[in-house]
Amino acid sequence: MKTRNGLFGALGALAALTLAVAAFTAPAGADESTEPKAVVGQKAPDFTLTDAMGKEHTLSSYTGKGQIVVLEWFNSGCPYVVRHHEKYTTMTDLAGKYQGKVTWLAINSGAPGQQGYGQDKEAIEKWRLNYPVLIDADGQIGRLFGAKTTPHMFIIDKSGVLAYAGGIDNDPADKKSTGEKVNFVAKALDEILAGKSVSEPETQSYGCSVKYAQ
Amino acid sequence: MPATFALLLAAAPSASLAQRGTPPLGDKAHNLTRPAKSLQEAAAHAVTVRLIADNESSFVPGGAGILALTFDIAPGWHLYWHNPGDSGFPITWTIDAPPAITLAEPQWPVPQQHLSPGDILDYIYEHETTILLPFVVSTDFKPGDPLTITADVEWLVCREGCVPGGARATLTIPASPPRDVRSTSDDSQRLEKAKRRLPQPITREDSQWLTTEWQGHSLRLKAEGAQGVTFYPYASPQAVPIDLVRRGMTTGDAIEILYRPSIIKAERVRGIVEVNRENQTRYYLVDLPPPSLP
Repeated sequence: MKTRNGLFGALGALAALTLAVAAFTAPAGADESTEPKAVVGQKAPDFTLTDAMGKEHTLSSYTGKGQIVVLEWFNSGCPYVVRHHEKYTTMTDLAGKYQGKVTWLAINSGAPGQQGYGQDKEAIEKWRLNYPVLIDADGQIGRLFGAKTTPHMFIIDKSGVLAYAGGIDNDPADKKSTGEKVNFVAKALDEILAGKSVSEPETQSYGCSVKYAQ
Repeated sequence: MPATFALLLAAAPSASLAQRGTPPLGDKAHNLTRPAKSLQEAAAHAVTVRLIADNESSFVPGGAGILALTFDIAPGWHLYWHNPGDSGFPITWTIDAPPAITLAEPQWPVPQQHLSPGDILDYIYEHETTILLPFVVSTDFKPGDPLTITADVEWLVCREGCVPGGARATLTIPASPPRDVRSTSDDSQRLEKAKRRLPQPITREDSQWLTTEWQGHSLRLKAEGAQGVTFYPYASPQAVPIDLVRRGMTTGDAIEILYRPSIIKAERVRGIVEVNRENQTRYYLVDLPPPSLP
């Protein structure tokens, strides 16, 4: 891009800067190609969201403190989410097991009027969640990560790199025997904590579709 | 309940044929817990399934015919293909039939694409669908007693939310001699409709204008002269397409399906390509070895 001299140059630069800033902060949904920015093996996009109790959370503030972060895409009305919070306590068990080393955050990217929207406080109480539920009503962060289902799990390591994306386990039908069942998140966390690379960094997630805004 | 039916049920685990109409990943019938009541109540009436046969006279020694699971789905609701896509869960079933009846691989009609905000692409059935179950009867089949076949079907039915459901569908063929009783005209129409939406193999002639080619991890599908090409991948842990919403369909004549690097570990790469050409829509089965690459 050629630079111009003098007053026109300064105005041109200011206009270009304004446009650049506008493009950078435009919501992901406004773009026609909403390609997820999160790629396994690369640095995860940073974000700030407010949880159901009104508290703000920023991803980099956790990784900055040396925490591994787990993101759990959440919709309390979805039968697959209900399975892992009622029939099993998969999520809270894991969050409790790795407490201190792992920060667990649930994210609800459902739009107002859609299933599960505004039901998070109730879910936190009913399911005794030991972690917050972040509200992403316009779906910007969900689209950034490419979250398609509830649940959909993402693990960000201490250096801020996306180390895992996919399902909670290998058992969408909930029919595998204990011997056959693999919890991908637990496995990945153990590998990360042991200083190893994640052996299965991407798996197929299963669940209901995330109820994004149009 | 007829004694034979009860016997068949009791003998189910060992004596009778149990076929699992499962999608390639081998997913089993699932058990899920309950969502909000009003959605659940609506979902309870959203799906009806029946087990039908094309012709009762097929049930003779050495005979062959088509059984089918035919679904009626209430407006606004949908069921899923064996590859449900980004979300959802496939229809699954187990069949309990006398040992003399052997069922072949189920034939699923090509589904509809269902795109939701967030680029969520699913493969669904709405209103009505019929899954065909071809069968053969062994020569030592002893006709005489009434013949009962039972299908235990499970599904995930979704509207603004999803509800797991299921039902048992039974077909009883009366005692022989079998009459030449074809299915009702409504059921015949369902069977014909399903047959028209089955993929056909790519013949040598077809491959003059319909070609498949690996370019790295991308599968290029070209249909010369086509004005629309769409790809419906089969589910596979290793053959995972990336960004199907943009790459999986065109109003032109070619698409390039980019797969994750794990593609090289896939045993086979399968899917259905839908081609709109010469004012006709046809479906072809793609079944290839994976690319061989470092």
